[in-house]
Amino acid sequence: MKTIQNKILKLSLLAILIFSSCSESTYLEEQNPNAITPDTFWKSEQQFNAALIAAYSALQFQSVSGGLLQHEFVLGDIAGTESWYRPNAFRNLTFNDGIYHVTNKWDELYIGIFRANQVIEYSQEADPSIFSGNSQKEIEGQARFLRAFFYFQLAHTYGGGVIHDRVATSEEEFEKPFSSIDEITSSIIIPDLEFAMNNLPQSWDARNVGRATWGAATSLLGKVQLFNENWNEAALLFKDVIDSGIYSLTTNIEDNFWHTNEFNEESIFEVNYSFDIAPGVPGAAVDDNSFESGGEATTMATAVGQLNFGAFNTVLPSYNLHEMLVYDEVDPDNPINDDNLESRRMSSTIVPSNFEGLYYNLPQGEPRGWGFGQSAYVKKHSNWYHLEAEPPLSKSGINFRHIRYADVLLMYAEAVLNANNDFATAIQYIDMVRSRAGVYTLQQYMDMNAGMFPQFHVSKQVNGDHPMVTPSKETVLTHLQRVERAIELCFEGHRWKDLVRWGIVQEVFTDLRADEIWRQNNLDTSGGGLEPLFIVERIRPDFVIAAENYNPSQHNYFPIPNGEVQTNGKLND
Amino acid sequence: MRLNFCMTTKVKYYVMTLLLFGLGSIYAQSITIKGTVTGDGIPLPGVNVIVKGTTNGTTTDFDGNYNIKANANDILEFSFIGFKTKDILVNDRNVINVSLETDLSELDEVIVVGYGTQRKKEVTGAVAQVKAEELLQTPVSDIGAAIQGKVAGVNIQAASGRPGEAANVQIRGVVSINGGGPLYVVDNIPQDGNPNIAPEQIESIDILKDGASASVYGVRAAGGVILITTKKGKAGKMKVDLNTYTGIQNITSGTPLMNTTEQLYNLEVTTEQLGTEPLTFFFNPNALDFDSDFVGDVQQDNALIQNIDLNISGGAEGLTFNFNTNYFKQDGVLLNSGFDRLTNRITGQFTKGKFKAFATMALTTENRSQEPFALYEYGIGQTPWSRPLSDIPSVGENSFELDVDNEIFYGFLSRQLENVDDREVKSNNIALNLEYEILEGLKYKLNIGRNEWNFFRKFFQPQYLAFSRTGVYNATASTPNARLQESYIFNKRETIEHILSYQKSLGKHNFNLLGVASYERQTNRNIGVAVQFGDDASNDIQVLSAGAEGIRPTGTNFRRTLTGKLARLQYNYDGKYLLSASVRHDGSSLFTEENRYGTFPGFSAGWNVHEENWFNVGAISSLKIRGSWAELGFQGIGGYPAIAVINAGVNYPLGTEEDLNFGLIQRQYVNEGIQWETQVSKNIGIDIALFNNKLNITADLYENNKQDMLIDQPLPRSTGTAQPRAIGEFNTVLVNAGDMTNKGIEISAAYKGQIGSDFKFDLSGTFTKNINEVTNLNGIERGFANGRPVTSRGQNTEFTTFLAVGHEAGAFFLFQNDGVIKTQEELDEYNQLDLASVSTPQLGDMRYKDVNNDGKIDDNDRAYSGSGQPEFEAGLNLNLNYKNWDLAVQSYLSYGAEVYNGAKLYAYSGGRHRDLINMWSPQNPNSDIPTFRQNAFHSNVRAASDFFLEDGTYLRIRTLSIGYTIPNTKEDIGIDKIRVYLNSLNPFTFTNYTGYDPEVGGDGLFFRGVDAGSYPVTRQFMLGAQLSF
Repeated sequence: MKTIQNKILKLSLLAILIFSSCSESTYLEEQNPNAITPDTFWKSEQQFNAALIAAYSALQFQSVSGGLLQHEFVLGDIAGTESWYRPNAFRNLTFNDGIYHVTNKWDELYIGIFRANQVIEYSQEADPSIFSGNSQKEIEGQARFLRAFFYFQLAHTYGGGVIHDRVATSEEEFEKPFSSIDEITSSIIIPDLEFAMNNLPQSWDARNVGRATWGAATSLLGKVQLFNENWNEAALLFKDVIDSGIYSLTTNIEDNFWHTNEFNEESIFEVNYSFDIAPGVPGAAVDDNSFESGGEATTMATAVGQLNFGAFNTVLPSYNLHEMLVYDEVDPDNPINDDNLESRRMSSTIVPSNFEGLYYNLPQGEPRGWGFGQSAYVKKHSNWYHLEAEPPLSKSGINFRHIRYADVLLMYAEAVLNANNDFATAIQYIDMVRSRAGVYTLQQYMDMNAGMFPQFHVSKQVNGDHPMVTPSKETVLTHLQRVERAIELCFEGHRWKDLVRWGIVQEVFTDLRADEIWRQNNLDTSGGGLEPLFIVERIRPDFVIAAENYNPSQHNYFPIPNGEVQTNGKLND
Repeated sequence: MRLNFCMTTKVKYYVMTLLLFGLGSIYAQSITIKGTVTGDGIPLPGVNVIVKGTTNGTTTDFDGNYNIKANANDILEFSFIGFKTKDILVNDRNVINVSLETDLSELDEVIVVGYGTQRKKEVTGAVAQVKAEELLQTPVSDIGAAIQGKVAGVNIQAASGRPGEAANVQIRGVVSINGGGPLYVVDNIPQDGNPNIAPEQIESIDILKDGASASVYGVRAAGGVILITTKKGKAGKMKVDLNTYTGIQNITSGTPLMNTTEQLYNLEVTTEQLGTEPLTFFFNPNALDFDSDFVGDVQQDNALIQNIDLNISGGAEGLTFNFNTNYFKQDGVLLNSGFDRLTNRITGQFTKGKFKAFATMALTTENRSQEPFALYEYGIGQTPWSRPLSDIPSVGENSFELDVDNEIFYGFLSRQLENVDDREVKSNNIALNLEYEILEGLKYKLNIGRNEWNFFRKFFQPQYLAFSRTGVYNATASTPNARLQESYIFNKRETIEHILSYQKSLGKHNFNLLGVASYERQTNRNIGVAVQFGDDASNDIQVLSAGAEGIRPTGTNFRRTLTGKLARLQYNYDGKYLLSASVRHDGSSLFTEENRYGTFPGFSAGWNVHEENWFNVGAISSLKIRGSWAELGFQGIGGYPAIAVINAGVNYPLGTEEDLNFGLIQRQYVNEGIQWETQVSKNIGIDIALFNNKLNITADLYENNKQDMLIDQPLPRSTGTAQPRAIGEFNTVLVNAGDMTNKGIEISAAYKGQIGSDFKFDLSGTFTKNINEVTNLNGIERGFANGRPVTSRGQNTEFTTFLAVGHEAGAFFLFQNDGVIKTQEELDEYNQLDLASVSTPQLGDMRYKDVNNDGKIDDNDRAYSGSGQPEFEAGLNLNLNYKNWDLAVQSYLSYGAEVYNGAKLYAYSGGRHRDLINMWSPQNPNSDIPTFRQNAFHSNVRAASDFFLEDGTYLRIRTLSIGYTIPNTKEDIGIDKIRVYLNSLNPFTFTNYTGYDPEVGGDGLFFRGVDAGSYPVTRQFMLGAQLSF
């Protein structure tokens, strides 16, 4: 009896031990302690603003507004590169569907789109009472501006894109077919920008400067209409911006390319970069990931700055651009000038070997470089004006201006020119830009030359002199296309898209290749180089491959990245 | 105390015996017989004592004593696992002391089968055992490497040759698309990944290959289970074993590169086609002064390898212990890399009455120095006319003159070599098994385990100021401010298991019942901190406090829990008919409540044919047929995969004052409906022993069908989740979306022979063929790209491996190169195709085939090109003993795998490969080597090209060792054994592969066979000595 009792006792103890351990469902319930969940998010205006900030943050990606735009800069006629530099695949049009920039730009723009979609969708669904004043519409308006901006870049880089306009809720929605530029424009870009125009303020207070405004939305919509060749609509929109009185050209052109005087009166849409935030974080890191913290800087200065000053100078001004800037002739009577021989526009854009002033604090003759056919380097976006060299970690805090007033003026000129052949008005607006640059206006040339102005894009060095033409729709348009937009807006992300929409890529390449051959045959072997470019040792063959191989259907737009082809089964549906 | 008690018992019996004989009384009926059963001189507890022909039986107690009633002319049968059964006629005796002989028959070997042991004869699953002696034949630090080629069905490939790196172990093919390997269980405690135990501390490794055996581990068992039993002491004499070896390592091959002259010639040819000239002498007037071998400079041939192992074991009855200390040190063959490990393990066993305790405790410290990132590639990339690394002039404090053409690229290499990258792992493992016999045959066992694994990494990038040869400071080639990063991972895993077992024999029916309740919890904390130093900081002070400015720290926590309940019945009838059935029910915190629980049943049966009376084939000593079926799970995923999150760290400054605004957003998609993947495993096997157990053959046929595989499905890039610099982090969603099969055959055979009395030999071989096929990917035909073959170029290098229905997982899908375009006609013809997705071709460029005939060359033109999985593998091992000499040879054949030569691609795309001397040019118009276009991503050198794929078949002499045991040491100097040996690891490799080494295990799936400039596997020569006393 005792042994049985003993056994029962032992067994029950055991049973208690085993089965009383703990409640299993509680034991297996684990919450993620590292982040909040969507269920608790999208509940306050503050949270919507934080999400909107994330959408803005996507603007900082290096292929959207940062240093990787170097690849795009060399596509057209304004720049070349050396054969061992990465952008060379773009210079020679031998990029493919797996190469950097082709893949990164797609990924980065879609990150922005995904973020903007979240803000748009959830704010439309949100309880309006959580928002103060007009903030619900303003938040949606900013997000829709950003989405339109990302889609505009996408459509005109890849010749279309995949439309995602909401957060995917099922597996089916991850994959979408490829849509044309027109489809994206009519179904996303235009409605978004119209909403943004109607709901965004004209300006923000000092702490919020940098957010999208009515002016940014209107200017971008004008640009969309310009690209669609809806000249009248484009002209009206640009005119609205011009007449609003919000914007004006800065007195000093360099205010558009330096870290000082950012968000100035000329700035319409500008991406904020900061050198000081997040010390120690490399310029290329934008957002946090598991391996690194993100920063707020850009690698642009390290890409374009000169090799002897801690940068790579992977973007080298083309001889054509260099020569046009040499003949960007200073008007001594313009008060902006101060005995300078280089135009203000040239001295803020490129640096030839015979530069004026200081370059990274050194006077002419002291810095190394300008050998082997490198006639000039890019100054725009680099820190040559206040540092002795580019800082380490490829960091720069110079903002990137996507839309500035000068661009709007030139686009307006183009719109009126095409809408009703109004070359007089076009010249008037082009001359506003020239006048600010401190150079002779077209009108001044016409006054000096019996109503004719020189064609600066035709090399004086090669052809003996600039041909003179009388103003007409065609000649002014040619000036706008080949000269004014090139020298005013070079390295600001517009050039290749412009050349493609105008359909003049082959013509430009052929012209520039012919100049190159002439320069090769007339290379000064004595050592100092010929005026005005002083090219020494060799002629860099920027256009030898591109002029021969350019094929509009193949090269106007980037191929769809292979990463998308591999993962999107509905791409060709 | 125990000892004394034992002796008094013996004395007591002795006295009693005398007394009984003294009385002289003889009873014909039912006498009580007592005695002690010993084996190898030690009392054996638990020995079955049966009166033959009856059900009357008992077992010996913990001191080996028994007590049974029998008739004077009965026969007593004494049987015990691992010993030969002995029959003894009672013959009127009252005291019968029995000494059992160890049974050397393999059938009686004790096999660990998961929550218990079985005699090999009773095993119904496919379980392979590797014993200590076999493990130690290959002197390596990693257990995986130690068993390569020794077990059929277990594929082991070095992940890389980096010291201290665990090999990739696959049991019966690819476990899961989502990665994953076998489950390791050390002394009954499940581990998280490979526990990295020194092979010297292991008594045996038992590998549960078939599903039914593994299914007792439920949701983690789909990859098979590796049960590790550590060394235990034996009662009796104290034994000390000392083993030490020292050796050197060589690199056997490399990537052929151009020297200065060849490189200059190549550049001349390259630039001429661009209408220009090389700039070599412009940038580097001293180019002809150097002919540097940077790859050679970053390698360290004849790197040292050392091991010393001390094992002490002993004990008395009831209390035994084993203590092992092992120190292993391996210098890397790449600069700044190395590994050392000091590990101490103590195990003790304690037995008192019905209570048994076993404890093991291990303390391990591992130090690793890691070579700089992509060192091999940066070595390849340097131009040969650059000043060698050893010759860089110092021009002041932390300042160096980089007298080269490209200071920045050179700086990538020279700067990195100054880095300090030390990783330290401290782990401690405690396992405690307590057992109490509640009732006869009913035992309760408690397993408690606690593993801590703490990781510490110090990554210091010293100040390095690079100056050009003209003395100009280059900030981009420099590290202007030193930077120190420290990372910590604290990982803790706790296990508690309640086990109830009941063993009962009813006549010839033998039952073994088991119930388990198991709880596990793993917590993980990750911390990362970093500082940047001031301009004048010393490179010698490498602590956080010396930093001038903090970099934002990172930190994340994880916790996961797992519960399991298991019931199992093992039954056999007379040792002839064997049956095992189990069911396990698991719950995991990784999944949402609806998908949290899974049930995993397993059945197996066996038939010992030779036990049948009618079986009478002289040559066949034993024959067993086995079969099993089971369902298993796999959950090898981390973090909180089913919980969507809003991420921080997406900030943007606003305003003219650049006020940083903090952003929050969803950056990825999750699938809340995921659950574990399941696998249905079937196995048929046969075990035959022939010629008096001299030849043993085991063969198995298996089929594992995996369903609802957990796949990290890459989303289309257009979903906005592919983040530059964090590829793979956000752009995948876990789905249960795939089926895959592994079918295969595995055969192993071993022959033990002897010629005369002096010459003994063992010959054993294994053969494995596994056919892996992805059968369903949720409607996707080919996707899940991976396997970038270049390390240093980030996400722009194309993928090479894919999952595709109808092919092996991780198969190569590549563009089919169609030779070099040599004529204008060929170029014109090629240009008929839409070539928007490839680099616009010129003469001398590589042409690719329009595989799908859509008139367009794009990603859809990739074609199946083989995979890194071998068609079959075989191992052949020979051991010879002649008098005092011993010789062991192990060889391994891997046949039919493909290897992507990533280093060759890198050398081609960087214009450094020696083939490029003969590249196509207008002067060399018949060449099949595409022209170098100075563009690392040009379509001529695209990673997706099959041009760089090679046959990876290899035959390797894995180890070759020769040893000599000095005779008569016991008598002369009192040492039991002294053996000296020479051992070579990988002495010969026969292969057509032109890269470093064809053994490229990678991550086991997508990187299997992708040689991304991998750390080379080396050849090693070692001299060692063993001492026992």
